[in-house]
Order: sequence, then C-alpha cells, then structure tokens
Amino acid sequence: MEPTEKPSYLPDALRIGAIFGVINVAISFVAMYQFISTPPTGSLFSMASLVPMFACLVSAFGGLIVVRGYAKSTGLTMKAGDGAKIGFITGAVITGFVVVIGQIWTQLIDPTMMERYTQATIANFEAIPNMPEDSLNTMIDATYKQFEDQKTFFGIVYYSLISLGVIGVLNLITGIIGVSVFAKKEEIL
Amino acid sequence: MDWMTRNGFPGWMVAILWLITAFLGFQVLAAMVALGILLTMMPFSEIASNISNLINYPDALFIGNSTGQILILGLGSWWLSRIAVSKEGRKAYFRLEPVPELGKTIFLAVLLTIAVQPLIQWLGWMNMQLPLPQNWVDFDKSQMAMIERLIRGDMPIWVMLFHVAVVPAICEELMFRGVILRNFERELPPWVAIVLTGTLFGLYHLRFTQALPLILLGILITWLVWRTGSLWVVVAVHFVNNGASVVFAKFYPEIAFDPAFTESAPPVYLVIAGLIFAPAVFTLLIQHLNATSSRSQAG
Repeated sequence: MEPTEKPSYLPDALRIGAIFGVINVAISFVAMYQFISTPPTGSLFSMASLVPMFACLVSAFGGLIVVRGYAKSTGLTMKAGDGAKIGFITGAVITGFVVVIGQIWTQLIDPTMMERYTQATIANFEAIPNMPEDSLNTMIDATYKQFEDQKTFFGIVYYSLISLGVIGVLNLITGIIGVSVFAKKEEIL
Repeated sequence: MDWMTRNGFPGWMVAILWLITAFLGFQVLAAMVALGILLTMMPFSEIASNISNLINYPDALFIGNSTGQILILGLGSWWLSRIAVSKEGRKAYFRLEPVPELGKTIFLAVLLTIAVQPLIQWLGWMNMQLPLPQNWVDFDKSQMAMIERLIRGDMPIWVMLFHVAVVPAICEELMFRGVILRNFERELPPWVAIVLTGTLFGLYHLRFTQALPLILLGILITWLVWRTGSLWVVVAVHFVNNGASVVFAKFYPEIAFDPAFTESAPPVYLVIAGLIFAPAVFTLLIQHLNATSSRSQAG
C-alpha cells in the first residue's frame, strides 16, 4: 500500500527548471550575439529567429526529466494528470528563470543588446532583395514597436505570459509522456 | 468516477489548457472563415496586399468571429464538459437548470450591472492613464474602428445584436462561467475561482486599454452565476451589457465614438450615483436570493 502523503516534486522542479532556464537563455543569447556580429544576410529567416524555437524545444525536456526522477525516486504509481501537473509547474519555473535572467542581462549587464539586435534585424530586412518599400516600412515599424513594447512593464508581463503558455504546455506534454514511459502503472485487479 | 479524476488532471490545469486551446482555435477558425468570405469578393493577392485595411470589411470579420465563438467557445465547451460529467449531468454542470424566481433575479442582476456602469467607465478611464505599450493602444484603436465601421454601416441592428450581444452572451458564458469556473471550483476556494475566472475573462478580450473594467465586470458576472446558481442570469446580463452598447452606438454614434466621450472620465455625479446605487441594488439582490432560498427550503 502506498503512503497517503506523497513526497513533493517541487525541489526537483525548481532544480531542473533552473538548469533548463539557464540553457534556454544561453542558447537564445548566443544566437542573438552571433546575429548582431555578422553582416546582414538578406534572408527572412535567420538563425536568430529560429534558435528561440529550438531553445523552447530543448527546455520542453525539463518536465520529462523531473517526472523521470520523481517516478524513479518514489516508485509511486502516477496518473497522466500528475505528469501534466509536474510538467506544467516545471515549465513555469523555466519561464521564471528565463524572464529573470533575461531582464538582468538586458537591463544591467548589457543594456544596449536589445537595441543592437533590433538594428541588426532592420539591417537584415533592408538587405532582402526586391522587398517593396511599403512592406519594408511596415516590417521596420513593427520591429521598432515590438522593441519599445518589450521595455515596458506591461510588455514584459505580456511576453512572460506568452512564454509561460508555450513552455508550460510543451513541458506538460513531456510530463505526460514521462508518466507513460517511466512511472509505475496502477494494477488492474 | 469522471475522466478528469480517473486520470488525475487538476481542475485549474484543465481550465487554463482549455482557455489557451479555445483562444488559439477561435483565432484560427475566425481568420479562416473571414478569409474564405473575403476570397469570394477578391483574389488572394488583393487581400494580402491590403491586410491592414481589412477593417473595411467588418461583415466578413464579424461572421468569422461569430463562427469561431459558436463552434469553439460554445460547442467546444459543451463537448468538453463530458470529461467531467455524464450527458445527463450537463445541465446541472453548466447551471442551466431552472431556479426559483428566475425573472426577478435576472431583473435585479441586470439592474446591478447598470448601477456599476459609472464605476466601470471610471475604471476604463483609469486604465487609459496607465503607460501601456503603443502596440496595445493601436490594436485597441483598430478594434474600435472596426466596430465603428460596423455600427455606422448598413447592417440591420438585429444582425449586429446577434454578432455582438447574442453570440458572446451564450458562447463566452458557456466557456468562462461554465467550463472554466467549474474547473477552478474543483480545488480552489470559491472566491479564488471567481477572481481568477473574472480576470481571465477580462484579459481574454485583448482590449488592454479596457482590461480593468472588463476584469471587474468579469468578476461581477462570475460572482452572479456562483451566487444565483443560474447561467441564464449571466447570459441575460451579458446580453444587456453588450446589446445596450450596440443600441446606444447605433442611435447616437456621434457621442459613442467621440474621443471626448470615450477617453474622458465620467462626470463625478455619475460616479457618486454609482457608488450609492450599486451597493443598494447589491443588497436588494442578496436579500432576494436569501428570501428565495429560505422559501425553497421551507417549501
């Protein structure tokens, strides 16, 4: 018979979430600095625009790893919903670290980074061959607006919630997968 | 045992997941339907090159919007309830079963919504004083421009009422005060479930320059459904709230769309009237609900 008081998964979620948060930020920032320091390619899809998606996919494994560790250390039977909950919480922790580290970096360590990134993005748009003037201006305006929005308090909250939605749901899915792969199944009598 | 309990899914998670899924599904479906209608009027290249002028076709956008609301928010929520209840339990789950003295309850709930309007307007003005990102302000203006074009157009008022009042009153209520509130209620204290549902309802509208009043209205409506035990009450409140705006804007567009009216604080005497009448109507409603409840228990 299993104990009624289940051990908490929060310490694992915090530890693994922190690691994946740092990995996510590191991958994104390396790509952004790389993009800033290279001449414009004139391609609509750059490494810098694709790498954040890759970073998101990498951080999706956080939920899976926490569920694996929890299932192995406790040996408890788990339901799909337990995996979903652990995964989502891990995703929330990852998002928290991504936002906090990102803000510390762009506000204190390298305050000009986002501006240089915006300039590089615009230079890249301008290098796209045969781009109609109207479309170019629209894209430049949108890039500037997004850059300005990301500096405001409500902008930070908004983008944090979007990240929570994406990273949270991805980890929720891997959490469910983690339960089906690693956790002990309930015996059907 | 229902599907959620069997599989260990917490209610708050189902609520958030359904909110995200319905939001994305609604956006995609509404855009696809609107695009389909526009394709019957012009070639794709023309649509693509005039993407920022699509507010000139409010009919297509509103048909897309209503289709998305009916199929995703309304029918989707109706279908999703099956993970928590049996087919027979649906009516009780959505609080659609008859309650005593429903007519009077609806009357008082609508009166309460009218009484809080000056406070809602004042909160709207407060909201506009916040340093919001320019993108949000521009987006809100474009939404208002689209509504203005619809109102000033030649669309019959009953069609407008259908798009702006009937469909949201039913579909948004099934989703927010149905599925989302019910799921939050599974594990959270009622007041937390009410505040969370109301807040999500306010933010869901993506009108960040009006988020505070929408959140307050959302919390009030959620409390009403929880306290009265009837979704019909809030369907009526939602319909009157949206419908009154449409009727007012249709007959007095020069006032309704005048920036001096929409962007300024309501007169102080109106706010004071609201501060007096809202608690008075609130007390009347509580007394009525308590009396109804006592009579039901005695009977």
